[in-house]
Amino acid sequence: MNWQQLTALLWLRWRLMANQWRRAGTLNAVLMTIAAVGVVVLAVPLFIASIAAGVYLAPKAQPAQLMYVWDGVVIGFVFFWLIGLITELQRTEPLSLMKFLHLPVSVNGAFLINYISSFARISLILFFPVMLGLTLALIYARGAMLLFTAPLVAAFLLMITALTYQFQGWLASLMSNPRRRRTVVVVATGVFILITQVPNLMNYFGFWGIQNRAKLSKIRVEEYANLELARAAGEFGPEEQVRRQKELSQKYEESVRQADRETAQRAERTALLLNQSLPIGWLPLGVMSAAEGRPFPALLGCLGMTLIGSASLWRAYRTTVGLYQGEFSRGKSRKKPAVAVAPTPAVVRKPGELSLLERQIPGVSEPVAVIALGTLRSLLRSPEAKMMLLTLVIMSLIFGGLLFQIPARSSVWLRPLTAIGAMFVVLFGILQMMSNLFGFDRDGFRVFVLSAASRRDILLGKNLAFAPITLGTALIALVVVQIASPMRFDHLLAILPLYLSMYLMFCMLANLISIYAPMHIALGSLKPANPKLKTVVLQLVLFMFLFPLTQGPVLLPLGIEALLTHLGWPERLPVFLVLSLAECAVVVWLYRAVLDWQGDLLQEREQRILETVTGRAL
Amino acid sequence: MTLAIETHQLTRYFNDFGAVRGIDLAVESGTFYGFLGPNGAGKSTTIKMLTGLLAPSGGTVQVLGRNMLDRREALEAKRHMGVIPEDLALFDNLTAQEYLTFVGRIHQMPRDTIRSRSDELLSLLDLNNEGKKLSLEYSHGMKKKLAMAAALLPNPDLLFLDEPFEGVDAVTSRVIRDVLAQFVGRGSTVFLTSHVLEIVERLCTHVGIIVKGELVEQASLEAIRQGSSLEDRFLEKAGAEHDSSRKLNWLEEAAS
Repeated sequence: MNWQQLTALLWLRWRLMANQWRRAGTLNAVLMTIAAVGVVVLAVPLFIASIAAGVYLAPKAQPAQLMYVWDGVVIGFVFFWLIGLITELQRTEPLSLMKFLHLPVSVNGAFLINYISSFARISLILFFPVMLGLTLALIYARGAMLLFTAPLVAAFLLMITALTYQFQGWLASLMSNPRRRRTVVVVATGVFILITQVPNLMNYFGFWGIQNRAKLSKIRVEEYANLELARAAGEFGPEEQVRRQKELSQKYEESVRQADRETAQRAERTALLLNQSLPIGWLPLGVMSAAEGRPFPALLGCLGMTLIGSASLWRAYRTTVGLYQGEFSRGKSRKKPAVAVAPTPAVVRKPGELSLLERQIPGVSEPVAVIALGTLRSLLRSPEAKMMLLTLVIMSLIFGGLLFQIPARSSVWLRPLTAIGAMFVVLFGILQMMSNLFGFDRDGFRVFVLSAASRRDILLGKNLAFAPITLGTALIALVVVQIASPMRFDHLLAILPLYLSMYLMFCMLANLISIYAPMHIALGSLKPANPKLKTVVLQLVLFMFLFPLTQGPVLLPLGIEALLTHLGWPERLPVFLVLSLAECAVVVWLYRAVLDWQGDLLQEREQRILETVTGRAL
Repeated sequence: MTLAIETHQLTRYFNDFGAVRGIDLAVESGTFYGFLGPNGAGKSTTIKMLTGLLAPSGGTVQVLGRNMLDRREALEAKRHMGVIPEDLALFDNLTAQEYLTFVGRIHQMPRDTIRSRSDELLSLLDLNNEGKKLSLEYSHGMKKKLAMAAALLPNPDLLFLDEPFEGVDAVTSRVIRDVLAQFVGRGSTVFLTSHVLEIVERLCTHVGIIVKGELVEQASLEAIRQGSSLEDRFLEKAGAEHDSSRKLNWLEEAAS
């Protein structure tokens, strides 16, 4: 590869990025340019600040504390690095290497330039100066032994970049099949979401000791209350109470200190174990051992990371060569003798057997039924929808975990409120897909524009398609709420029509946003492709203002029952249930009326929507 | 004479660019109408306006006697139309069979009719062995065939086909030509755009030529040819007559 080719490839990378920014609008291009310049400019003060902080803190710090600092840097870097990777994965274009391997560029050169240009990420531009600054500060403050930090940082960066590069190469060969490509994107994103939830899980299982402190604090409050009761009963006087309170306070502080010590010891043991067992921990571990005057672990870590990096680079190179030679898989299955591939047999149906799309939905017209079933079928198959469902499950787990922390003797009004909150979470989780109903149809939206089906039916079908997912998840959440914090039976019954009201109100809002602010979504992604700033703002405004407005009234029945009970009405009167049913009837009527209007609106704007969701200027 | 398609001063502007400038189309029922033009002449924009995929900036459109600019009448016209748009209209996550079931039910066809016609169409277009393959896994040619099957499924009176033979293999191309000939033979109308002049010459009874957004010719094939070939007439109308002096000098150098 010569200099001209090198500059051409660098220019290509730059143009691709600049064009992507420009296509999203002038304002976006300006903002992104400012951000890019800002990141580069920020790198300088970050470097200086790291040196300053290192020089100031390193002499006083324990070796274990140095390890924690480096753990923080490593985790921060890997987190942002992964975000960059996921973003790149979600792009519809396959690996750029594929696009220029047919050109007169040597494989080695293409490999090298592509690998080096993969360094150009915000995470590296921001974190490398920090790592460099800390390294220099450590060497200055702690002496020659800390010189090990420099090769450790280099080996760490080699390992991460090479592993990422190998991973991308492997994905490129794997994703030659579009269906598999989407699955890979979903799985990678799902794994990333799960990884980011680890701190939350640690929090849930009390790793940080917050629960312990809360428990101790609760005990102290109870003991104070008991003291108060005993004094009121005349068991002792105020002076004795003050003395006993002081005792309790000292006991509490000692218990907290003990609990904190235990938590810190446990955290240190876990951190050490993780640093030893995970290669990304070898950099902090190496720094700690070097600070302790033990060079061997630092050397070993350096060697290990270099080996992993080199092996990854070698594998990545082999994949590149494989791609160049047209071998899309290097697995053992390639060695099997070639056999003629029999065509997949056509689907054979038994007489009377109906496929999902042939089924009827009682009470709705033929077009509504098939639009609902067709959309549902697409949803259940599309990885982006599965990704959304995964988000829903994760959100349910997080909020479900919180539910079990609510005291069993909570207020009778708090329990139905929790159930309503669960539905909010579900609606929030599904918002991204439902507020862009046609965005996921892409070219398929033309079928609707070309069809004779009434536009009202199209909207109704779309809303029906999401109903099993939304209401099904909400019902599961309701069961969890009922187990965690049982509601009165009439309250439980009242929640059911309330859920329907909430869903229908949400549908009206989602339809409106879908009609006025549609977005083009790239295949296999949940991310809008080059959205216009105007559309994003419109989506946000519509959501921010109308979501509370449409969902607020659902709290009325419960609020009225609470008010009446407060005013002295008998507690067991099922006011909430009756009002929920009445409200549901009103919402159903309103939904029908609004749907007619929204159908007309859809027909009026369908050509503009088509232009947007297909991502093509007509 | 009844007109299947009639436009008056049909116009479409994209900002300041006039993609289609006041064209008056008149397509008789039962004809095979070929709509020709160089790249970027406005063929696809016209077909999009005729089928309701794009709103015109001006003018009127009547399809099968219905005003396409009136929402209710447009829906009524769409009941009798089949369309293969330029960028197709497939759902990525449906199989061929499912997609046809979907289209059939949207047209409110009886279930048995949908089944029998889908089986016939898929078999005819050699898509019956694709089993559970999703349309996103199809090649471009296969997608075209599926779109063709969907357009024919409701047995429409009028077919709009935007480049239907592009990316389709020779065997299927022959099958499609035969089907279209049968379709027109029974009195239905086809409005087709194609870059392949041989196909237009072989199939079409009437031809319209659009150049830079303006309809420069519209007549029966015979009247347009006037004893010459369609290619010569088209090049003449498109203003790109063959000039033997236009050469790339560097191509005449000996190969290294």
